[in-house]
Amino acid sequence: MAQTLNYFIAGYAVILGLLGAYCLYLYLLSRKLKKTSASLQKESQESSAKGKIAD
Amino acid sequence: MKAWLHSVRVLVWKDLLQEWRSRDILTSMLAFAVLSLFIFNYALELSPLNRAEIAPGIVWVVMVFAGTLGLNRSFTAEQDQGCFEGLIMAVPDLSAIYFAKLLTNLLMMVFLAVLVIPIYSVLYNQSLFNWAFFGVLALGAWGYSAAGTLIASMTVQTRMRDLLLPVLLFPLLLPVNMAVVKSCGVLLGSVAGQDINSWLNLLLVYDVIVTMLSIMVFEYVIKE
Amino acid sequence: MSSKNKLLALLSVLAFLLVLFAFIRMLFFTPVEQTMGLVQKVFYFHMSAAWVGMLAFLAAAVFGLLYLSRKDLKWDTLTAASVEVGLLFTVICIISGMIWARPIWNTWWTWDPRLTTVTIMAFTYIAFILLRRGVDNPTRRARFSAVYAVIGFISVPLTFFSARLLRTIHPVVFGGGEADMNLNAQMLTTLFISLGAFTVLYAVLLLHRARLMAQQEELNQKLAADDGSYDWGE
Repeated sequence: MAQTLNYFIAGYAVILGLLGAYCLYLYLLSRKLKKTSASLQKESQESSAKGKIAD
Repeated sequence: MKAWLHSVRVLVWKDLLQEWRSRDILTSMLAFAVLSLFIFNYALELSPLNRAEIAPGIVWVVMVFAGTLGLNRSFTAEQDQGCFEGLIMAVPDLSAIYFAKLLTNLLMMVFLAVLVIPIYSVLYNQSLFNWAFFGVLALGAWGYSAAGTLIASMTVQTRMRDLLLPVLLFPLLLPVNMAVVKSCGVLLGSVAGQDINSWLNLLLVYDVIVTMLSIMVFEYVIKE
Repeated sequence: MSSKNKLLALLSVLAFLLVLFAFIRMLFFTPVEQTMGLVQKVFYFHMSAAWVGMLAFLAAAVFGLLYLSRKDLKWDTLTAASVEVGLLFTVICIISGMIWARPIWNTWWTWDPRLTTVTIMAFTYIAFILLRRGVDNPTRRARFSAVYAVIGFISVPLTFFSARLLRTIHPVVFGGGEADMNLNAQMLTTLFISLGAFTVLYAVLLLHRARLMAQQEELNQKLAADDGSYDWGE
């Protein structure tokens, strides 16, 4: 039987590595979106407060 | 039906006339094609034997690349001068626009072939005069123009335009490329006689499917 | 957490467990193939990735058609997300296939019809993503994406038959062409479990990506709107 352990490890490293990397990417993206959305909300609250003061 | 045919004819005539007056597209396509033939000669140092075998490949590849120049331009006039709305209102059915553009592109490809093939024959000292060969090239050009017209109608409306056309089009063209090159190889006698019916069937099926599909989806590309 | 999010979270956990189960089964409870050795075991996930790549492409075409008929942008989001996830699995398939091929056929690449078709599919996916990048208008982008997804999908069987026809005429010079594997019952079961696990994984990744994409688009529009509407007060 051919000795192909290294290729086996390499193969699964690639498969699981790419899958894991994508999941990580999704996780980091969701965090970034949460931050952006939170800061946008804060900004709109501040600007509406400013608006009230200006009136 | 008569109105449809009439609008196709008018549109094709309009585009051909426009091109004849400026001769932009055809001259650039021709120059590009001839230069490519020169480059191929140096890139592939070929013995006369090898040359015969890959003649159809070279001719078709040159046509595919030069053809993108024509495809890219097939909608730019309308896009840049805001003529799409007028065009849409002028025809009984949007498929007439697609068909007209397809025919124009096909005719440009045929014109290119008519010029490139004799030049190739001279440069490489190999006669390519074979009606079956021309027929298969025409079928290939049909498939190329069918897919190319649809893709060009999209890419002309994007930011990257010309850059995007080959990227979007070439993956779709693989069946055509294979069928044309392989069957022409047999027809020109350079590859041992094999049955090319399967290739021709495949090519025909591709042409029909892509044309029909494009006609069905064209309105979504053209109309806002 | 809303019920939809709860369901998605549950499904995510299920996907992870299924993949883990398939992995463990592959590792410890599946016999090693006689001629190829351990590397053959890459096949289970490799083939599952190929299956998901095809499925994702089909789904993208279907979502595209649904957008064209219903004009609801949520279908467009699903189309784009499906293509992205499909590209991931296709790349996984291609690279794992190359790693598997190297020791077996002593080459990284063959012009095997399936390999050719899958690679062209990957190029079509990439072209799709580039197309989307080139269009700013959301509805136009959605229409173009749908059209390209459909025509791209139609080209896959055509490409496959062309490549197969090529092979019958030109026999493969390297190695043994079709993977001549005799799969016994245990191996088949592992394969089916992997296929199932990857399908669930695809659905989970698709839904997550679509949700994030929709959020991204919403935020982009808000940011674009905000740029113009600051009222500094006269």
